[in-house]
Amino acid sequence: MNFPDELVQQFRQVALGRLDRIESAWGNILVHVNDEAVTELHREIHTLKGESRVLGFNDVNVVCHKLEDLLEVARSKGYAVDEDFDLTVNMALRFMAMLVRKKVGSQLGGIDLPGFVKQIDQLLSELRVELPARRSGAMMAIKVPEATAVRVPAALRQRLGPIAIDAFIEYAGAKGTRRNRLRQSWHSLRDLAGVQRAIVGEGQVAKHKSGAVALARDLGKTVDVVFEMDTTEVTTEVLAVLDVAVLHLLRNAIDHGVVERGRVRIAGSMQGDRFVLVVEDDGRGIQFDRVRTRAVEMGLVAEAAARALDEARLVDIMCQPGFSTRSVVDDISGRGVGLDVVRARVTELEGSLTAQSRPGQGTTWTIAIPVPAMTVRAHVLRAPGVPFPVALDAQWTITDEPARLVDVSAILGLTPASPTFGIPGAVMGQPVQFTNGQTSIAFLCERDPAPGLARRLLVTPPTTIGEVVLLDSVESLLVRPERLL
Amino acid sequence: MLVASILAADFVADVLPGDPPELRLTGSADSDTTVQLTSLLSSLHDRLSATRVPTVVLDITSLELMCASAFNALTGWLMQIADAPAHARYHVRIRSNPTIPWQRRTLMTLSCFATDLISVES
Repeated sequence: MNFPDELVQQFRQVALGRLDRIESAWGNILVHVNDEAVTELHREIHTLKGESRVLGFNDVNVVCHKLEDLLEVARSKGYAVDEDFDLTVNMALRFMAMLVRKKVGSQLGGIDLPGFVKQIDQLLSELRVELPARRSGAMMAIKVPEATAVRVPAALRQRLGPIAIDAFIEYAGAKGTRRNRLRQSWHSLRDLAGVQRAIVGEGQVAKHKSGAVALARDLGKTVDVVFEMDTTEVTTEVLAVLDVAVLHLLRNAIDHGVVERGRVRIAGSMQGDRFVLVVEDDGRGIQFDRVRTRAVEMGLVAEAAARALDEARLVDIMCQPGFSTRSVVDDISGRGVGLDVVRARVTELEGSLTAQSRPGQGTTWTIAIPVPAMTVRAHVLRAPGVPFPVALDAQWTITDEPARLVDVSAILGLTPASPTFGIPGAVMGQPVQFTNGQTSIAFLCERDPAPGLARRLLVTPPTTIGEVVLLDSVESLLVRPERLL
Repeated sequence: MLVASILAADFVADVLPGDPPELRLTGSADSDTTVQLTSLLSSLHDRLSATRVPTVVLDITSLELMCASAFNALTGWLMQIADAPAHARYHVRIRSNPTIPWQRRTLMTLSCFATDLISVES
């Protein structure tokens, strides 16, 4: 199958980034075993495996699978591995990097993939570690690219937000060469912590269909995959999570849900302030008794307690790292990584993952992810001494009621507070009062406030003085009045 | 062959002229040597490519240990050869010592990167 060059290039970029992170996590683990790095390591490899399969990088997929085998051995040894084992893992990563750079379908030249796999198998054999039995079967299918934007963890973005606001104010209030220097700092922080927009819709998910059908064919199944996606603007973070979710839930539906012939429906739409993704199959349904049994076998819960677990709790267990109802592993599933990845990524964005299932009727996975509003209706003010427009959420209304007058310029540290501030005639501008029904505040305005549509640029925590928005392409400050009083 | 050698406390890398020329690594290549090794391999590649030498011998018969980062420098070099235009490529004959455990397990795997360019002798 020929994929658009753009998609292949995107995969290469994402894959090489993943390989870097895998190498880094592996190195960290060898120095100091820690759960976070272990989880990251396994997630990245599993996701790379899925992505490579989808885009026809079958050789990468095969090496990923072998690498997972190696890492299972390492895990069983508490990551106390010999130097040559470490070298082999590193070689596998280098080997994959080489394969990723090769053109899809091109000759491998002197690259000996079967030989490489054989060497790894031999090493595994020498180590005499019992790996889970391998299920015979199917090769290849699906796809999913990840957004190309640099992925900054949500927690770090939150911490960067207030710093970026300060950088913006400093830059906007500066002059000359200092302003140029500060502009660079502000833009760097904005790129890291700012809102990165993306469109999710039919166009973003339809490309998954052919890969999914191919996967089903490899498994000897016939599946009708239907997409029903609304076109919506979201952040790149949300899009990346939706991509990962579609990848794993679609694989799960085809591998675990559909029996021989079936239908998988993937629907997405904004519902309130959340993007809701539904992946629904008409297959065998979740075998909750099997989940209970495996949970007991894996020591996750006592036998008596397992009997009392409701379906929601069992779904929760299914999403735990390493959980799988399969006692055997193949190149599609069995490692218990897919659902874990989905839940982890959804949770990072404070979203939810739920499942409903009926025996013989199918399973419906539902993901709901909060999507920050991309625009805000606002009052636009020009405050004396402030070199950029100041915006106030239109939920605040203009009132005649008296209110405390604030000096925005002084609060932002742009000019020292003036002893004449607020004295009619002493400072240019007229006070305008606003209220939200509970709090009132007055701003000195050089001219009457105007309505505007603010496009969010840098979303910050509620404790911050405001956030940076675009008003008619001009960077402006959307203030939180409560933080000014 | 005008390529600088590395002389560290526990690691030596020598480029020996001859036909074919030889790169001899001795001792323990740990992470402290990686930067120097990478630089040496890059210079060596430039030199071998420019002079169109058909073969180079990599003698590691006395290389007792090799850390992952140094090994990555080695694989990077081999990939650089594989990616080079046909006229700038050359064959690498690895002279190994199978009594050293890390070599026994890893060199055959390494040769899979470019079977047309790498051969392992013991």
